[in-house]
Amino acid sequence: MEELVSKLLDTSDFVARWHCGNWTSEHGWLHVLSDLGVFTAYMAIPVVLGFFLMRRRDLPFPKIVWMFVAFIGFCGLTHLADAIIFWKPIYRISGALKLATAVVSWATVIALVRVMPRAISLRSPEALEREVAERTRELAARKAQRDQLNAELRRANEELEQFAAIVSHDLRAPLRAIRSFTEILSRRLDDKVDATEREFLGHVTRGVTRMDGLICDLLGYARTGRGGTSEDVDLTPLVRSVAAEVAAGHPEKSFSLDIGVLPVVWGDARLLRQVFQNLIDNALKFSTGSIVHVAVRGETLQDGWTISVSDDGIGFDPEQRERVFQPFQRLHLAEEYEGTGIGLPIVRKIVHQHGGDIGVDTSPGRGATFTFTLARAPTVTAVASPDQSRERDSA
Amino acid sequence: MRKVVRSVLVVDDDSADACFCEFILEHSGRFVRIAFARTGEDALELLDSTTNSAEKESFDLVLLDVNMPVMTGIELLERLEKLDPMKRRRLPPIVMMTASEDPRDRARAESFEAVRGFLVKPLREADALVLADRFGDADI
Repeated sequence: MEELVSKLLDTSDFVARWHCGNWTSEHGWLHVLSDLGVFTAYMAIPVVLGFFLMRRRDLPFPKIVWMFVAFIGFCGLTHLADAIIFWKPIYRISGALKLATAVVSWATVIALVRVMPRAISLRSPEALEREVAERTRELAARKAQRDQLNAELRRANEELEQFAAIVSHDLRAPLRAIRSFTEILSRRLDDKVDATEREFLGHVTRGVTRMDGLICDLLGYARTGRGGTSEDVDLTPLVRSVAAEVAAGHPEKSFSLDIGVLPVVWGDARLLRQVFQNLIDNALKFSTGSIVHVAVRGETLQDGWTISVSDDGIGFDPEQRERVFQPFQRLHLAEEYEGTGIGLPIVRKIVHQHGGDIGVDTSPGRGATFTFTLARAPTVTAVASPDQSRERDSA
Repeated sequence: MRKVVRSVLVVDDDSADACFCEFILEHSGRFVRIAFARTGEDALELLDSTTNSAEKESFDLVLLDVNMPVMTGIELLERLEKLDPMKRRRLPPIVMMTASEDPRDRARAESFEAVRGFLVKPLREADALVLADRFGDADI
């Protein structure tokens, strides 16, 4: 071995192949040219493979292919050595090249055997194409399903709209008749009925009026938030004008409004107006004395705003916190405080549509502070999202 | 000066509403003749024939319900718009009535040229007086 290495380039121990044996010119050149042919081909193959590998970096098992490049290259070199030997007896170099070729070839064999299980499990392009086609079909099916769901949702919304129209028209028409004619009858019979009968007539009128109010409120609640738009809304002037309007509706109360620095928020001005209308109206309605203090505060957060409306009114048991946001849930007798109990549910619905939430901090006799958030990118465009059916109030 | 409406047409499918309307109008003492149509088709026929010539007795005012089966008040307005211009000019002023507080109904009704007003049902006595003052003639 040592001799092989130290005398690798030494050719003095051998004779060139032309001079060894009786070569005819044709026979010799057959060998030489064939070896050169094999050599050039074996060099070209790695070049092409290498080029392919550089271009297709996603190819599986690239290491194996590089080994093929090496082994074919070495094979080519052994043939080149064989051709050269006809003139220069480089038998030692030739031997070393054959040894290298053998080593690389066997390494390739071992690597090949190792990757075989994985290679067998590799999907062919046809199988992949089939799979892609199948996935495409699945996606199309899922899209069709979603389209169908959307259509159903749209239809359900239309039905709801229609239902609301039926309720508002057909259900209110007979009520209106009862109410109108009871009023006429009460007036006409006024001098003919006694106190008890007059009280009965009063109950009929009030009952019908109340029912009509409930239907109106229910419709209002169902319609809240339909077709909202989003824009910059400056809360300061909005709250001021709402407060003035609400105060005008309660001339018996003396009303003091304390507005902090309120932000410009992103949302539907009409809906936000309703939020403040309901909250401030509640503050005036559920007040202890004739003087009512209402404070509105705002704070800008990173992803939205927090607004609070506080009053010094009668407050309520914090245990009832959830109930006040439920439609038609009231904490008081109709005689004590008027209203149907739809104000706060509408407020909560609007706040939800603006990507926020609302809570209340209160205790009996200590007033109430309603605090709600508004998201910077609200979803006011809502076509009545399906999960907006759970809400609440107190008003 | 007291004004009266000599002839009014009430178009309403709801008999209770129509009856109440009649009561309110009559009670005000400012409406001389009150005619009724229960459907949009009947109203269309009536208005079509009374606008044929200037001599024929026509209405001074129409009170039209928005929500009616088959032909709604709005559809009736659309049909009236298609009458020939001669007849259209002879159409009496129309005041819409509705129980709905939906502002869209109102906006739609008011987009018609013939519509002069909008009332929310049930009618009040004050409504009758305002109607008479606006659409009536001097009582002689």
